[in-house]
Amino acid sequence: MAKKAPYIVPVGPIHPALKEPVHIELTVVGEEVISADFTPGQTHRGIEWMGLSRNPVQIVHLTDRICGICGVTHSLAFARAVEQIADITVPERADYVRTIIAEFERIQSHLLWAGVAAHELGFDTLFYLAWRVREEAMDAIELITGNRVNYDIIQIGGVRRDITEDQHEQILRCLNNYKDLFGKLKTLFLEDAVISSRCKGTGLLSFEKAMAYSTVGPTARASGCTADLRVDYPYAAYGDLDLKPILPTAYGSEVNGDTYDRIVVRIFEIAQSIEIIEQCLANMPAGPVLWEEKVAKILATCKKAEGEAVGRHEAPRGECLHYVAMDRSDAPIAWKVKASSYSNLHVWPLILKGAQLADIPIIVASVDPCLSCTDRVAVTDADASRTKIFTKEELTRLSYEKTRRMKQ
Amino acid sequence: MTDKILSPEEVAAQLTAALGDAVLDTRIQRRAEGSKKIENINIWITIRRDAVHAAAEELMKIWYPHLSCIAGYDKGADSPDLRIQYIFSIYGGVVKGEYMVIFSLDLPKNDARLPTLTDILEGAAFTEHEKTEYLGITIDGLAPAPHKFFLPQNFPKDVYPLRKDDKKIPDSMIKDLWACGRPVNRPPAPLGGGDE
Repeated sequence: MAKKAPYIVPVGPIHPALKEPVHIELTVVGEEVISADFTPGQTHRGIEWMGLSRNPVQIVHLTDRICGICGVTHSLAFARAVEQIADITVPERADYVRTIIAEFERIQSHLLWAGVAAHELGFDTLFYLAWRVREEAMDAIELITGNRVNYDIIQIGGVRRDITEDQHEQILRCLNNYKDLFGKLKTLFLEDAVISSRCKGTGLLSFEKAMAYSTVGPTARASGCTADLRVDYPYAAYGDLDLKPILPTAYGSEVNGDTYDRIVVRIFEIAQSIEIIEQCLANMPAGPVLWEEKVAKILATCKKAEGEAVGRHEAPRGECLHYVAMDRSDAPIAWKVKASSYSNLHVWPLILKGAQLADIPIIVASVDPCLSCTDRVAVTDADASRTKIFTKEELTRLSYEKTRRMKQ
Repeated sequence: MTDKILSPEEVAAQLTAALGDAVLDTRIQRRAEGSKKIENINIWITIRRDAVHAAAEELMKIWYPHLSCIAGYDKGADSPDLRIQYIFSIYGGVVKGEYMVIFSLDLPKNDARLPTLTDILEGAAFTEHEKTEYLGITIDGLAPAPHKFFLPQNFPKDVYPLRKDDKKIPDSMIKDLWACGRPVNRPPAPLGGGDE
């Protein structure tokens, strides 16, 4: 019989089970992981350094490109920090538009995650279903912002586009579809015997460790931490709403802090986001959506600004934070980006310890890691069996063309 | 940790009383958004560098703090100091009651040392390692990392990417990804559904 010596199993940075580049090193005895180490930072782009040679309006575009999923998260956190320093008052209607987009982002992000989680479990039918369902949220985002990713809707002092009355009907239709589907999604994810047996009791993160590691978002809430910026730290339109943080108890179960609980929290947060968007649409105040339309005036105000501030947003993965310091010059003197995953990745060694090798993909995916994104797109014409790679310049031109078409 | 929820002024006063003359400045920043204009509150406290650990301990007595991250920047090639911010929040989980508490301090570049907070908050290690890699700050008491977390493993010693001094990354490590040899004679992209 073979001796069960510890073996090192390297996973990544490029690996079929990982969607993004990260290196994970597992020490295993037999099938059991006895310790884990990880190395992120495989695709560091120096984005903070790039920002220090740009003005705040240019940086908003840059923040949009930090993550391909959190299109509004980083730009909202950054804009809020600059608005505090420059003492810019965001119109109330813009706060509501920001909240609606942020919640649509949460829906699409959680559904994207749900698909990935199902795929990691080998349940690809559910993966396809989750991603098909996600398309409706993407369509709604495109309807509102004009883009499916990199929405670019946030501007310093508000948002670039209003949500018109005509759009309300389409958005509500999308939300109603989700309400109909929610029960099905809940049943498929939470009552499936395979998912339960694979996820219950795996990837355990205790309440004490979740607090000591300052984890955020669904990862923290699944371990019983009640922190949710939307509830605790009123900003945008969230202060006007009556919200409660979603815990695993939402499904009637006790808090275990396992992979299954992280699924419960995310599934129920989709339903919560639907309610938030409905409340926002019903109560949107009238008025402008931008503090100042002329970019030159925004820039002039920012150039006079001096001080430091922190902008935060409860992203789909948890607290996103931007620290900005300005000193009456074009560019900020300091810009620190703290993405949500930054606060969650470092619990991997904890939750992987003691796991079985086969559960590694779903445990790694259960914190919803977001590591990097790409800057090109490939379009495949299935009928003609042709693939075309669009470059940055071509995409920029197409974007301009579309904006002009939509303005007509 | 007490169950009583203190006002921001009381939090600032308690920290000032506990840290004494190590507190150089306090500022409470309020911001109100949405229709109801409910305030969110940030408490900024400038401290001496030797008071970091005591400040975190005192914060722990008020409420179990959440450490978002440690931020920091080089004040310039001509300045002898780095500026560091410990970004905490307290009263997480209290409805509309959370405050940010940000401790700022100046740290001399020629003696860039700070104590670790891992004895209070285990999770501080990740962000402390980041400060070591980017700004060259030695964190006393922090267990050494087996490898770099954020920078390439072969990144040169004594070069810190966010320092504004003379030291540069060697040219051999710079990858101009934008200059990836894209064809220059490519025809313009078809627009409006034209054939390629």
